[in-house]
This record gives sequence, structure tokens and C-alpha cells, in this order.
Amino acid sequence: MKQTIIVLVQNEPGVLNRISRHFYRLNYNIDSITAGRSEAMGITRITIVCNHSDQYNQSLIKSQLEELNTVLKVQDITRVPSVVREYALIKVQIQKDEAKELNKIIKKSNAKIIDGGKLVSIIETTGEMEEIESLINALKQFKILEIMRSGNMAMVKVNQDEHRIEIEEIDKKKGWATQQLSDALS
Amino acid sequence: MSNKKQRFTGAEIIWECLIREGVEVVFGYPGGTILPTYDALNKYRNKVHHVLSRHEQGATHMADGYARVSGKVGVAMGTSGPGATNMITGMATAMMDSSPIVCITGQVSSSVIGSDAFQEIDITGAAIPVTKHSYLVMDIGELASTIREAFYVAHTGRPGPVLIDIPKDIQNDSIEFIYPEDELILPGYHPPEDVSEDYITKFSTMVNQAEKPVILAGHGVLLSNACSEVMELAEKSSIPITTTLLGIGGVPDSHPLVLGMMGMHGESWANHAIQEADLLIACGMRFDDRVTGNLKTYSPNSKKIHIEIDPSEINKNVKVDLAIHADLGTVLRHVNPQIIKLNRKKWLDIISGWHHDSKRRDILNIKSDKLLGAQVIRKIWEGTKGNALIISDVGQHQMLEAQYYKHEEPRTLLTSGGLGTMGFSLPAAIGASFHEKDKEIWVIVGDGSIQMTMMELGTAMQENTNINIAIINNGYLGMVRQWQQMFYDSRYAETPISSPDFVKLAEAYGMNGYRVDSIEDILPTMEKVQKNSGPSLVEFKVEEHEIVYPMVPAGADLHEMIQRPWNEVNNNGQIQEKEKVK
Ligand SMILES: Cc1ncc(C[n+]2csc(CCOP(=O)(O)OP(=O)(O)O)c2C)c(N)n1
Ligand SMILES: [Mg+2]
Repeated sequence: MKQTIIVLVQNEPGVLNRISRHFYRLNYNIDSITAGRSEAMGITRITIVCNHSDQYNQSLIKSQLEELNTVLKVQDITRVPSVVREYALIKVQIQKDEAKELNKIIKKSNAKIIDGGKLVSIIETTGEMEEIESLINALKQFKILEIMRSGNMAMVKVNQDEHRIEIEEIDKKKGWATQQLSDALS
Repeated sequence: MSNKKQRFTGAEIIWECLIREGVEVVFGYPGGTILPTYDALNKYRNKVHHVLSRHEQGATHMADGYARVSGKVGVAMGTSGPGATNMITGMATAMMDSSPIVCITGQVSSSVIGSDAFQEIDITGAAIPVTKHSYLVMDIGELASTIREAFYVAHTGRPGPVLIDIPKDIQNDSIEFIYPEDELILPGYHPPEDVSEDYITKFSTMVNQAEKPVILAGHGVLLSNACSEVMELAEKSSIPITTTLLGIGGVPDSHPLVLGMMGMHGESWANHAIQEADLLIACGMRFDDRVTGNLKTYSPNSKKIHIEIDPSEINKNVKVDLAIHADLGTVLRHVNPQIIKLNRKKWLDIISGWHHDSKRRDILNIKSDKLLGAQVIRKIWEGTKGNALIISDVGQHQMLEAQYYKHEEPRTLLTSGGLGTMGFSLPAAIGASFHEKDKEIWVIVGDGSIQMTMMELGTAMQENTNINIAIINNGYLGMVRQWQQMFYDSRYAETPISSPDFVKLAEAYGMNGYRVDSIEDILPTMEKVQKNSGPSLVEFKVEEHEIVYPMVPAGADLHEMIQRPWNEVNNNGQIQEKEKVK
């Protein structure tokens, strides 16, 4: 089973470097890593999906990440019911007579064209990984020029409240690193 | 520094902060990007002593040795680029052995960082795997709080090395500044606090119910200053104790409950006790492969309690039944009152029965025409009455030291355990000497290891350091030769090593040098050495083909020890009979 971890970190230079080396050390490939600002100032929430199933190493990685000074919290949600979604942009090129067919595929799936000339368009979609894969497969009959996928983002389900982690805003005055951060953000 | 706002340069802030942290000695080596800080040192000479090493690796080991013996944070300083990369081995050594040091490096000016400027290296990046944390200071306003944070991180929780990289322009810049006195809050850093009552009860119940418990005492016993708490637990419940290499000294070796070292070159009765135990109480140790042997057959019938300050060590190598993530001393102070008095005569008798091999472990009883390394250690123990501070290097002599020098007090043996860094001993001893000013200090080092950091003899000379260096010269990289003899059909690829004339070398450095090749000459030579002030060097010419026994080959079961053959022992007689254990 792939491991999915949510990591809350202080948003400062080098933090991804410190995190990713623990995967590299075990010779694991990170499937996807998605990071962005969280609800708290100066704190980034990261979803990491890693394609390794050894439970011993799964817990080793968790505890090693927890130990990093820049990491506030680590949650392994591999076995916690969660919503997992991915976002994708797909650029396709069609022949003149294929427009109808393309529209049909788009209508059927949770996708839309967000930029396009007559023959080249960018399609946007979100969904579970399988849905995105099947859209891509369907689009293969045209010429796919580019694919950009966000990687999985995960959030524990509403009815799993005991697994929700609360974070406090980092007080501007408290950590020097945070100071730097909030300055950068404002 | 008064608390009134005053203007300070970054370089001055560095020294001001170090002094505030209680630093009395700094080990380092100057260069281009750290020049402003060295220039500012001139103003602080009356408060801080700077020791000029001969290599930045040496400076880091000196800081490490100072930290290990004092329990305080050691400080090493160097320039950017090659100075900083030279410090990597020292940081890694301190990392593996949880030693609190702060390394300060100069960096090229912040405006040119990233441009491959002269002597620029991304040292904070390079040091990530070998430090507990690393900082690059890009704003003079953050310099003081960063230094303060670095010291805090280095010595709290599981101690370790911390690096602060400071660009030259930040050292030159100046700012109005007051030392930050507010409470330090590090959101991502949580050294453990108290332990819950629940764990204490479980712990004491497991001990009280066990029939064959063993305490495994690691480096954490020393780091947590929990030596007397561990002894109290052991004595109250009559639990035998065995130590890791770095745990040596945490409990007095002469105590009847102390079995000695465990593991690859440990005492066979200690290893047997672990294998037969029904309860292991692991105190501040991490089940390193050198102490467990084959994990599949490791102590198969025991329940295991693990008290460990670093949660990422728990259940890493050995699955345990009760894991307590906390400070060892704190836990034991809660547990000990709940421990029932027991004498465990049966269990202790069984263990004594395994002490059958003591005869062949008695090194004075071994047949040999030549002086043996182990005999030298035994005699140094005698000659120092077991009271010296010993700093050993890496190799056969290190294991022999652990086996034959009996340590009674904590922090009387410093050695590179986790990383096994050859060259550690001489610089670490120089560092330690700045804390242990009145103690007799002996470096026990191989002919290979001394040649890794021999340049620090210059430092010992310049500082007139009161250390004695015992070189155990067997003409080989002995430990590697031992593996070649045992596992590679005695094909000695690149292990014979020649050495300079060490006595002349000592003289070249203005030290007293001696050479000893017979057991009778050891004590008289030591007496001469003990009368010298300043550094002395003694070369011991020993048997080249000695093997360190017993030995658990890498990956073998812990109780499958290779023992010294009986035909190498005098008066073997009837003891042979008892050999069959397990
Ligand atoms: C820096 C470093 N390089 C290589 C080794 C591998 N190594 C371990 S013990 C040893 C031999 C040590 O020789 P010596 O100092 O003469 O000690 P002896 O074993 O002969 O007592 C070597 C090469 C090491 N531990 N550290
Ligand atoms: Mg040697």
C-alpha cells in the first residue's frame, strides 16, 4: 500500500531538502509531493505520496521527519479514511474534424477547457488519480502535447475528526525563522 | 555587555553570545571569510581562550572531546569552503555519538552566495545529514537569536552537532542590539517532558515480575546523568548490568552486578545473559548492529523496555514491549521507589556459571613471546590505578581498552563509537584537557589511527597540553587485518603499515618520547611519564598478529562467540569442561 503522509512545516528555505533526504536515504522514490500555504500563517502543509509498502520503513520515515526542527507535525494517513484528489492540466492538439469528439469526452468527465484556440486547448480537471488517468487515456486518441499534474492532495474525512490536527499560528515574536517568513509573506 | 542598546559588529555579537553561553574555550582555524570574527577575538582574549588546531577536523574533535567530558557544549570554528568541508567528519562523529557541539563557519558575502565565489561551499546543505540542525544567517538582526537557538538545540533532547554558517558581510555589519532574554520557543522542536504514571506502573510491574532481567546501559545513562539512578534500580532488584561501548563508565566496572561490555567484542557472559533474559531494560541505547548481532535471534524470550530520549530510535532495530520516550533519569526517579527488593540468586548464579572463560580472558595468562596490546592496556590500568581519563581511537586497541581498562567513573572513557572515526583520539584528548585540568589523561591509539591526525601533536605542543599518548604499534591496521585473517584467508591487502620513528617524532615536537617492548618496562616508563608536565608519547611495540577475542562475527547470533583457542592459554586444565553453554 502506498504511503500517504501529511507534513506541516515552517515555511523556510531548505525545508524540502531536509525532508526529502529521508526518502532518498532508504532509496525510495517519492510519487508526488504537493505543498502550499495552510490555514496558519507561516506554515506549509505538504502531502507526500510514496510508493513503498514496508510498514517498518513507513513508521521509520514518520519518526525521522518528526524529529526535524522545521517540522511541526507529521500525520501518516495511509490507513485513515481521507479525501485524496489531484489536479491536472492537459494540452491537446486536435484535427479539424475532431472537435465534436473532444467535447464529448470533456462533457463526460469532470473537466473543462480553460484556454484554447481552435486546434490546441488546455483542459483542466480534478479528481482521484484513476479518474485523471482515464481522462488522459481517452484523450490519447488526439495528440497530447503536455501534461502537468499536481500530485495528490489529501485531507482526512470530516467524520474522522479525531485525526484532524490543529495548528497554532506561529507568533511573530517567537521564532527567528518565523519572523523571516512572515516578512516574506506579507 | 550592558543591557543598554549599543552598536556591535556581527563578529562582536558572535563572541558576546558565546560568552553568554558560558563558552571558555573555542577550537578553530582562521581563514578569509571568518577573518572579521578572528579580528574581534582580540577584544575578548580575557574571556575566551582560542586553541589553534592543525586541521579543522581536529578542531571539531577537540570541541567534541571537550563536550563529552564536561557535559557542556563544545565550540569549533573555521573558514568557508575547505575549512568547512574539513569539519564534516567531526560533525558526523558528534552526530552518531550524540555529542553537543556548535560549529561556526564563515561564508562568502551574502551578495555572492550561489555564484561559486572563491571558497564558497553550500555547507549548511552538505551538513544536513551530519548535524542535528544547521543555520545560515542572512540578516545580522537574527545572529544573536540564532546562536542562542543553536546552543539550545545542541544540548537539549538527544544532544548533537549544530552548524551556524555566517557570511563575511554579516560579521562586518553592525547593529544596535540587546541580548535576547525572552523565552525560547521553537515550534518544531519538542524535547520530551514528563512521563505518565501509567508507564511508570507498567515499567515497575514488568521488573518486579521478571525472573531473569538484564539492564542494557548505553550512552544515554551518561548524557542524562542517570548513573546513580541506574545503579539504584540494579541494586534494589539485583539486576545485572551490561554496557555498550559508549555506556562504559556509566556504572562502576568493579561492581558485582556489572558484567562489562556487550556485543561484538563484549564479554561472553554478558551476551549469554542477554540471550537468556526474560526482560531487557534498555536505558539510553539504540540496539546498534554491533551490540545485537543477528536481529532474528536476538534475546528471543525477553520482554523489552526501552527508555530513550529520541523517539526515532524506538522500535527501529528491535521491537519493544514498553517504549518510554523520556529522559532516563526522570523515568528512573519515578520507577525506583516502586521496585521490590529481590536478590535473584538463581539468575545471578546462572550468569556466574558463564564466567568460565575468565581464565582465557586473563591476559596475563596468555602464552606469548612478544608484548601483547591487551597487556599494555592492563598495565596502563594498573599504573593509573584505574583513575585516568582515557581517550581511545578506533581499532583493536579500542576494543582491548574497553575490555581491559576498568572504568569506575562516568565520563572517563571517550571514544568514537557510532562512526568509528580513526584519528579521533588525539584531538579529542586535547579538547578534553581543557576541562579535566588536573586529571591524568591517556590517549590509547593505534599506529594507523595516530597517523590520521598526528599533526595535532603541534597543537598539544603549542598549548603544552597535559596528555600522555600511548601508541599501540602492531605494524598493521590491526582490526582490518583481523577480519582479513578470519574471513579473507589471511590475505593482508593494504593492512601492513609503516610508521615514522615515534620517539624522534615526539622529540621533533619537543615532547618526551619513550619506546617499550616488554611487559616489565611498562610501569617504570609510566612512572617517568607521570613526572613530566606537558605532553609525552610512549610507543609500545606489540605482537603483530594478535586477535581481539571474543568475537561475534558481523551478523552472527549474539551467543555464537569465537573464543580464544585454549592452546594459547597457560594452565587451561579443568576449566575447559565448563565450556559448553547454550
Ligand atoms: C577514518 C577511518 N578510515 C578507515 C576505517 C576502517 N578501520 C577500522 S579499524 C582500522 C584499523 C585501525 O588501525 P590501528 O589504528 O593501527 O589500530 P589497531 O586495530 O591496529 O589496533 C581501520 C582502517 C575507520 N574506522 N576510520
Ligand atoms: Mg595498528
